[in-house]
Amino acid sequence: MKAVIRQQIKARYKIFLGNLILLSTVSLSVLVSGNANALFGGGSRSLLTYWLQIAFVAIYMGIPIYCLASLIKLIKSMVFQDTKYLLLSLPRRSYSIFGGTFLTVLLEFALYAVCMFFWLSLIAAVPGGTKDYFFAVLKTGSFLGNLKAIYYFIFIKRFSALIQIVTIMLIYGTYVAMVFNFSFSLFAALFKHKKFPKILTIVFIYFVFDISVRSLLALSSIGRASIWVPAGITGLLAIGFFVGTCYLFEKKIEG
Amino acid sequence: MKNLLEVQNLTKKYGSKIAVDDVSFTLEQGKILGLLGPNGSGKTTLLKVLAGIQHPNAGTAHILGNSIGVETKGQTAFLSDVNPLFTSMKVDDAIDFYADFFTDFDKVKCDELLDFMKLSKNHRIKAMSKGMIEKLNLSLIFARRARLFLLDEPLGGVDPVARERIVTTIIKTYSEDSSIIISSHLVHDVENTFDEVLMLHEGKIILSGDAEDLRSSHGLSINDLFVKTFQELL
Repeated sequence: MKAVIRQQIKARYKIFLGNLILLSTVSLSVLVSGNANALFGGGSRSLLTYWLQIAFVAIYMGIPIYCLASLIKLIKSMVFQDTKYLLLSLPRRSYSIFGGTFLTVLLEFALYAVCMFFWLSLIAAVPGGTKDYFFAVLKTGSFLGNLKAIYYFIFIKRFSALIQIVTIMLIYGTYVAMVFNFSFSLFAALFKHKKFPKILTIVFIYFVFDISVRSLLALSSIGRASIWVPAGITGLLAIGFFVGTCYLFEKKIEG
Repeated sequence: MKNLLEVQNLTKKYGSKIAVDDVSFTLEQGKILGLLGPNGSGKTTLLKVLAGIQHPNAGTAHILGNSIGVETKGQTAFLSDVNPLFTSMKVDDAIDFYADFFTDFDKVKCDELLDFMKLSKNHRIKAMSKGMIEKLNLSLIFARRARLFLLDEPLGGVDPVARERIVTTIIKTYSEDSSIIISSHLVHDVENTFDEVLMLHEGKIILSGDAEDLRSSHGLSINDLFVKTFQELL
């Protein structure tokens, strides 16, 4: 798996660095231009503020969307392009190839999340503005005091909540990614040498999610079960879809 | 000499269509086998099964005693009839990719082959011509110290000069330890490299044997024998 991860990092690092530079440039511009509060609706507004607001929203929403898109179409390039002949002739098992690729994108996502959190914490720590009314933690009146309060609140006071949120996001994110990847593999295996049936795949994915959501809601309502019961079942389903994707990739895509 | 490849009653179907039909043959170490047949005769499917890309419906294939699987993929070098490399890669990246995944990959040998093929490491694959890509893939494959080379149409779509270089590379790479299976329509260009010949028609073996014996017994070159055999059948 190490070789897969190394190759994936090599293939992705330029886009990763580009996104990071973009993220840091926009965030730094917000900070040094004195627009940190204006971003949240307070302070004075100028043309620069509007541009920064647009750039800020675009980059902070765009990166998670890019990551999710990368995760859900991981297998697409492996099953619908001629590169599958190279991947299938490697002396590696499919779980190593697909799993390694998935882990690399997940790692990339985690690094983006850390950087986004870092910049957001700096922007949020700037004293003044309407955000102070919403976040009780930002009432020290100084930048460093606010920053310290944010980090204390998240990493000490609410650390277990942070771990729970990250775990839940990881489970449900992985589940969504695996449903898509399994669907692509399934339809690539079923419709070999034919045009990829996009509509059929979308319908299949819709039904999988519909059934999942209904089942999990029903499960949650029974005796007010802990969030970990549906999360655990979702995690197991994600593993099932991962195994299914690997099996289809190794045994059925080319026959 | 020891058998490197043993294929027994191998059958591969696509739905109801039989692509490879009950094929059995062996290949000794150090031999070059010409796998010949018209389009749709099952050559590519047979090579893909031997490369571990496809799975047979019946029968077995063993490379150095191992049935086809992850282990044999490490001993087999497969040249596909399409470009399997990621087009975003540069030649240099493709070399790193092979070096990472194949323990038998020799970077020095690859450099020599690239020099011989007159390819630069800075070329981006998406900017390369079909002939250049064919030569690059062949250099990457032959830079491996694999035991079995499976070449699917290595001369397809390349100019005569490139063809000559490719054939020279095949001959240079020949070693007593390894065997090569070459599938080609351009029989005339490669027939001198063949030690053995196997002709397929509709997935079945219709003619096989030692290349020299076939030449002398039929009084024809392998190319002429190929044309004559399939003119009668098609």
